[in-house]
Amino acid sequence: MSLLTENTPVKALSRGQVVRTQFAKHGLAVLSLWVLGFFYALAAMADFISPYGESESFFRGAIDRSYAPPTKVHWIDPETKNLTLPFVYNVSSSLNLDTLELEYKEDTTQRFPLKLLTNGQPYTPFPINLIPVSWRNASGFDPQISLRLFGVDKPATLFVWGADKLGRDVFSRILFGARVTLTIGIMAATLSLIVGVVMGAISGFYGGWLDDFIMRIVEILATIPGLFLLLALRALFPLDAKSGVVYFVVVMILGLIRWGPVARAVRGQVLSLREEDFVMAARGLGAADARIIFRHVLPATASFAIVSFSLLIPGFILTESGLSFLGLGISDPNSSWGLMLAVAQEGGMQTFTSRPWMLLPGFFIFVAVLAFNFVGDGLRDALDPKARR
Amino acid sequence: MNVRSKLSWLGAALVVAAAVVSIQGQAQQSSQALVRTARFGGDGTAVKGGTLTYGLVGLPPTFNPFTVQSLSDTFIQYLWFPQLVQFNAATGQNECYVCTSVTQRGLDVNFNIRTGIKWSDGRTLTADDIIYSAELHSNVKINSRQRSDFTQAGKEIKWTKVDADTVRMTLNITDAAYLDLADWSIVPKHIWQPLAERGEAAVQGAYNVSTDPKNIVGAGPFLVESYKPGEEMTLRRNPDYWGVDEKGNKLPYLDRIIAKNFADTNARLAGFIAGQQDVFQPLTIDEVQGVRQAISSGRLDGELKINITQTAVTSTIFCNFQNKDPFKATLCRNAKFRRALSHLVDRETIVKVGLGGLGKPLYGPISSGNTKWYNDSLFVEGSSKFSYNPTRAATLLRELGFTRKNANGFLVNSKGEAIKMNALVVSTEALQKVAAPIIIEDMKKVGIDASFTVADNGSVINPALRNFNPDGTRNFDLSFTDFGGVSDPPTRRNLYNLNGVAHIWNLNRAGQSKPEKPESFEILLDKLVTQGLSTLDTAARKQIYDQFQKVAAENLPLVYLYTRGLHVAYKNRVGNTQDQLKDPMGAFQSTANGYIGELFNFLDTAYVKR
Repeated sequence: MSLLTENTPVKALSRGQVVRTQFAKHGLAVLSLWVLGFFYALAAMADFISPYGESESFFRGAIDRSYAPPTKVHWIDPETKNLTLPFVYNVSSSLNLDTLELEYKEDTTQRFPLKLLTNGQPYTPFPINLIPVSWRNASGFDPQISLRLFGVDKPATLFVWGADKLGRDVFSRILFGARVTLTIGIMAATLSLIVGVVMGAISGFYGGWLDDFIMRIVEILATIPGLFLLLALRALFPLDAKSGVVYFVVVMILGLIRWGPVARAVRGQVLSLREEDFVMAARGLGAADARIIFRHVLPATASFAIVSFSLLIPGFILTESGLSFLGLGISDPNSSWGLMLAVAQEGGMQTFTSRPWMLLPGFFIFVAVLAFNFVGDGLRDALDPKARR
Repeated sequence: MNVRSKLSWLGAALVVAAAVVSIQGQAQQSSQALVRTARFGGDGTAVKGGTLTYGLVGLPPTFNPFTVQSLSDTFIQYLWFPQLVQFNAATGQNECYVCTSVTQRGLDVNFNIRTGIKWSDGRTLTADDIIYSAELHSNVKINSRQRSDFTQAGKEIKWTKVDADTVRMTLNITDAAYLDLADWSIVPKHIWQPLAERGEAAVQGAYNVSTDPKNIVGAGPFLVESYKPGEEMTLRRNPDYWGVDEKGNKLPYLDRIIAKNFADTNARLAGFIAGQQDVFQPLTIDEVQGVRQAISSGRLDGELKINITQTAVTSTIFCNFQNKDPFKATLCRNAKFRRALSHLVDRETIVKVGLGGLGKPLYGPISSGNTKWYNDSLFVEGSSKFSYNPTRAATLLRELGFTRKNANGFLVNSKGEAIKMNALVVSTEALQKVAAPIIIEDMKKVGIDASFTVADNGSVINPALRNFNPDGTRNFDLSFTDFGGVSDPPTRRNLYNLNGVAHIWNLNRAGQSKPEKPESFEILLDKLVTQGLSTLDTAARKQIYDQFQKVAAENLPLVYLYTRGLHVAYKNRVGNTQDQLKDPMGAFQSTANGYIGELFNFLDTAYVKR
């Protein structure tokens, strides 16, 4: 009879539970995970949360808001000095001849109350908007709603974080831009990582001519000048290809050629791992190569893989802003954080001195990259038995 | 220089028109110094000595006059390589520089050469130097950027030595702007002949930026002193320069010119505001605002001149007459469609948003800055001016048969065909990127299925514009393109000629002299620009160019959009730069010559107060 009865409380945790509890002890990593979750939620609900559409612009006619500063939301009634429901004023612009810039002044004659759950430009709600437009058109299933979280009546406008050159709401565009920035780059990084780890493991595990072959491929890929490859790739697309599609394909191809460094490092680790006792034991028990690689060898490289993943992501996010210069990235009227930052950079010093809100996408890139790094840090500690706390 | 210019008709024969143009310099002394008069800063009150600094994004990649590529780099070289004639920004004309006078008889143009010009190695500049330079520039294998100055009507222009002080240019046909053909840089034969004897490659390889500046032999107001790659280039005063001011003081006044390199335009602006440069040309509204704010807040002791005139660059959008889709090609060839397109361009808004108001809407082929030829009264709304008016555009489209809208809200004709068009936008052109969404949005509103693609010029747009399919069609629909301009003739020589390389809406294939199916108005435009160039009488030319503007504005081979303002800023300590800006036409021509040209024309009389 066994010493343990069914009633004996056993504190045997599964690997997943161990990782989870270890991860929970890394405060910054948990916080970062929440931040990222929040960003993804914002991106998914961008249509609902943002007061304006992605390309809804106000730069001509009655409502002219080129580089309008953040709209002031008033909480105090100017007459009674009491707290009141939030409202905004309409603004009008005039050219300041000293600075040659438009100056915006509030027109205090009429108040425009801030409205919750109001109507704006119609949009296709999440998650139906994940279905490609052409399929939606073909099937005739394309429900549109116009409910938005908040807004004000025209001619007043509500720009929480100011407006860009064409009078588009920076806040709204940051939310829409997150859709591109936080997804496509990460998919490419994942692709790079998977290919790199698998190729590195095969190379290191088998050695011999296969190793030579894969390593030579890595070297050949390293000699391809990325910029020229991209320019050549762009020439293959039809001229009127959608910028989002071009960008997606280009980044995926970048992912497919950037796996070299990962493969090299993994190969080095596997070379020593394959001589370890636990691999010998598995081999002795008659495990198949695939099983040894995927169940025994690769998990031991997890901490490296996660670190390199968290380092690949910022690289891809920053690549995006570079690509938009070449016409390979997202282009107007669509938005992405990289594109918005590129536009801010075109403005040079004026961006800093006259319209600092144009730099906000940079802050979001910074926070997102930092968060990915912390999450990677936490995961590595959680997966590494030696770093248990 | 007190320029007196006589122009007289000799005979009215159409084929052989003969004219005498004489431009005479004042000083006819034995050494024949070039005199810069008070009008150009030569009143003798300038401070002597001092260093003028300006900023570049990328230093000149070569000192070689035969391999230099960009216009602005060519202009820097004119500071040490002299020219027969030099463009005078203040008068808007080419004037004698190395020559002292020009006489034209029939197709022969004689240049008298100034005596007493010395190369920096002590040898004298001779007629042989000039003829030899012409030989090198016109050599096909050397492929100088100025080689086009040596062909006319498909034939070589002959340069011959008449005597020790005279050289002759023999034209193939009359050319009203023939002095343009003599503005190339002159090099010393005794240096370049030994090189050329070793082959064309030796010529092309000489005078690169690693050449010791001491070995660079020139004869202009300045000579190269040092070159630090990526950092700066320094030019020093040429003590043997052959120019003087009115009081006989030797020019130039400046001891040194420093061209400082900056990583990008933002860094260059920051450098100017921080006081590291003496002169600066703001190109965008952001740069104008930056300079203006630095001056109004007292951080910079300088002056900013805004909207001196409009630049020579004309921005356009055009429709491909050779579209691979015959339906679209037919549309593009229809003037009504192009006029509808013009009615959909909200030029005022684009100028306001993209240029901060510092620019002008454009309806014809000549920039409004070119006051010599531009004629505003020619543009009459409805017949030769098609300003922003979506309703009118819709009417024109209806007249073309696009009477109803399909399920997607796009206009269709009786066969159900919608107008689906994509416009190409150059990724480095900030202004095009502002104009494109505005125009495309208006096209969509009226019912055209329009979109635009932002792409790299070198790898995507230029090949798309220039590459033919085997059947003689090309793949793009619409393209935003900016065309650089010149002042006289008022359009580029290769733009409206049927065989022109820039006749890009309806292009001739390699080996052909004209596009396969030219429209009648294109043939007329070709005829008018050719006539404009071969006519010598100014009033007659004016008439021809008026008609040219009218025909182009009515037919819109290019839908003209806008032209930018020209702005200049300089520190108050810089003197004698303002003169050239007193005359808008001169400033305009400077933009046609490239940005540096404007500042460099009078660097021999500019000075810096200490």
